[in-house]
Amino acid sequence: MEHLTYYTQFFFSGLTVGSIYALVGLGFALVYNVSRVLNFAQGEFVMLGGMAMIYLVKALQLPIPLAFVLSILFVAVVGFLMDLIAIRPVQKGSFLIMILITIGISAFIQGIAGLVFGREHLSFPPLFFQGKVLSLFGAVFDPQVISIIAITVLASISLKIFLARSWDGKALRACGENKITAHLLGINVPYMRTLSFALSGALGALAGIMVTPICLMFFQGGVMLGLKGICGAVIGGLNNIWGALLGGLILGLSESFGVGIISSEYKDAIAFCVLLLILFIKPEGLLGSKK
Amino acid sequence: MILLLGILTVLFMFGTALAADPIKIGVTYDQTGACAHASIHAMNGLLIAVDEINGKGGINGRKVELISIDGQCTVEKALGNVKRFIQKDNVDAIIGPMYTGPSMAAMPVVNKEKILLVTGSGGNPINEMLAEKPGEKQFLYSLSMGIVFQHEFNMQWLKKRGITKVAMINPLNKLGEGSNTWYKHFAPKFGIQIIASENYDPASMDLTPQLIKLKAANPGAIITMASGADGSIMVKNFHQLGMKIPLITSDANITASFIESLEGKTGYVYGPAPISGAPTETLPANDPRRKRIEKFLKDYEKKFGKKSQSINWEGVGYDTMMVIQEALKNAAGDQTKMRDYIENLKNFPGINATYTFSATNHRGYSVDQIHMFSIKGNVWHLDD
Repeated sequence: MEHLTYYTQFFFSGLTVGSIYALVGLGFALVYNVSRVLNFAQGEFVMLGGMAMIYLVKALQLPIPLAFVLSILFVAVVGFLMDLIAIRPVQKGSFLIMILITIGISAFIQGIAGLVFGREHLSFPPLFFQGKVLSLFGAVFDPQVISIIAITVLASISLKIFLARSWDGKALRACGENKITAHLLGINVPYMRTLSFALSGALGALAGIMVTPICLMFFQGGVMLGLKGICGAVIGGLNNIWGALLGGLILGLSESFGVGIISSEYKDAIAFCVLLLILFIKPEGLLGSKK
Repeated sequence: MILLLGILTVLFMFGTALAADPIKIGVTYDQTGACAHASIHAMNGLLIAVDEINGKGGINGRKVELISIDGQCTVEKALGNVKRFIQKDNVDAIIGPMYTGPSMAAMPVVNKEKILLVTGSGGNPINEMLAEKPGEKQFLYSLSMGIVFQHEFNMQWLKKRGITKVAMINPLNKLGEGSNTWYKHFAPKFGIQIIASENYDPASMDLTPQLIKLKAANPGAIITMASGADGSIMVKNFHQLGMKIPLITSDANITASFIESLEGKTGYVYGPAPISGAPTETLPANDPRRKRIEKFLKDYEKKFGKKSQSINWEGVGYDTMMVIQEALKNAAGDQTKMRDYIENLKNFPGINATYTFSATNHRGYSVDQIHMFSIKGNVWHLDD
């Protein structure tokens, strides 16, 4: 019985953390697919979403639905500006230069956020299932996780439909496949990249709003979330939207079972072993396709 | 021409002598970086103390002038600042760094250069070093309860409550390591058994795997140094698991923002803190400490236009300056005498504590200067 309780708890814990990684990873996958840029400021989008929501709900006392929409819009605008100001001038730069620029922007956003929002860890009450706890075999489970997974799946499906059906979505995919051909076909490639940044900003904000009630947020809270999100997206396969979901959950579960069964000291080591193992066997990620 | 220059030089020297040199104090608090939180509050307390001193005409007629440089939470920057204060600015005393690593790195420097340094670092093992090498003259003082007094106090409190079996959970960092060591050290002295022990990565977002194992051991209380975000996550998971035993967390959590981060889940949460952590109205009206704290809170509001944010840390900054003032009043100009003067200071009234220093105690604290707090009506209250 004790073991059953333990393993159920490890599973629930892994699901909680994994669903957070998955939602964060989704934004990475989106930008990567369109522009082949690994946006290291994605974690900061998550942080900004959480901090903006805290500010609007706590300091300005706005109603939750309004604060929700405003936070997402705000970070989408940040993503839009980031591309316009920092990425567009160097769009012919190499992959490495792009990565370095996004790292620089991530430090810049952290600095500004520290000044504007302060340095404390903050939170706000969860949007759904407030104060409720589910229990199974003596293990407990925060039902907010269900809403996170539901939102991740919903966001993935809408993205999938958007990319497959709408003109903009198809154009975005074309840019990801081949920029020059897309350009020859009359697609405005820089505009599409700007759109992808704004979209990933919105997705990041959504992630921030969902995870803040679980793990709190502060001005540097996006760094670790961002790294784990990339990790999850790579495990699942960067060029598949579902990869981020699967990879995030695998990463979260391997961490929590590692902590529970082996030791807390090896939490990150176990997670990275899983990453390496999967990349050895399938370098393109579990759901990724070979190009 | 030469004559004119000579006259000017003499006049200039005369002028400066009349104005009395200001007392220069080098401050290397961390205004940016991961550890900045405590220093930013302490700096505000320090500024209030300097205003108060200069408002009364300075120390022996000399105004206090702070030379403040950001330590950025790094050893290199803090050491650079300390060396600059000594070599370039020729300061009368140094304040900070607050972070354990940088403050430990500054110790050999100030001891070698023989210059007084007062900080509030809780992790600096200053008292343990004094105990180890009794003859050595340490120039560093650290005005906070520190990890050792805190652990001794917690064990004493548990014994008083009749709790003999506890479970321990600590972060995987220097703080957690130290906490594990000191709890194991003090437990047998108070007849307490640590029946289960877990560690966690401080960046964890969920601590239920560790807590459910502790719960299975059925302890009478949980002891932890979890603070800030991981402290808040731990309290939330603790409540989710339906645990109903005292959860004794770190002194760093005795802030209003920590209570806010708990979103109402405040039951069973305890933490040790100096007296200033209590709402002033809960102290007896004739308690002199109440008057001091109330005055400080009023001064704070007047200077910064908002309510005090974290009086424990602000108090560290304020008390630091006041202790240095005492040494400067009586022995300015001679660093060794200033150091010795503080060592002999007894029952010195501060915001956080009534400090009594000695050759083996450079914190000025004792276990009876620490109190246990719990949360009632969304405010930390004394719970001794």
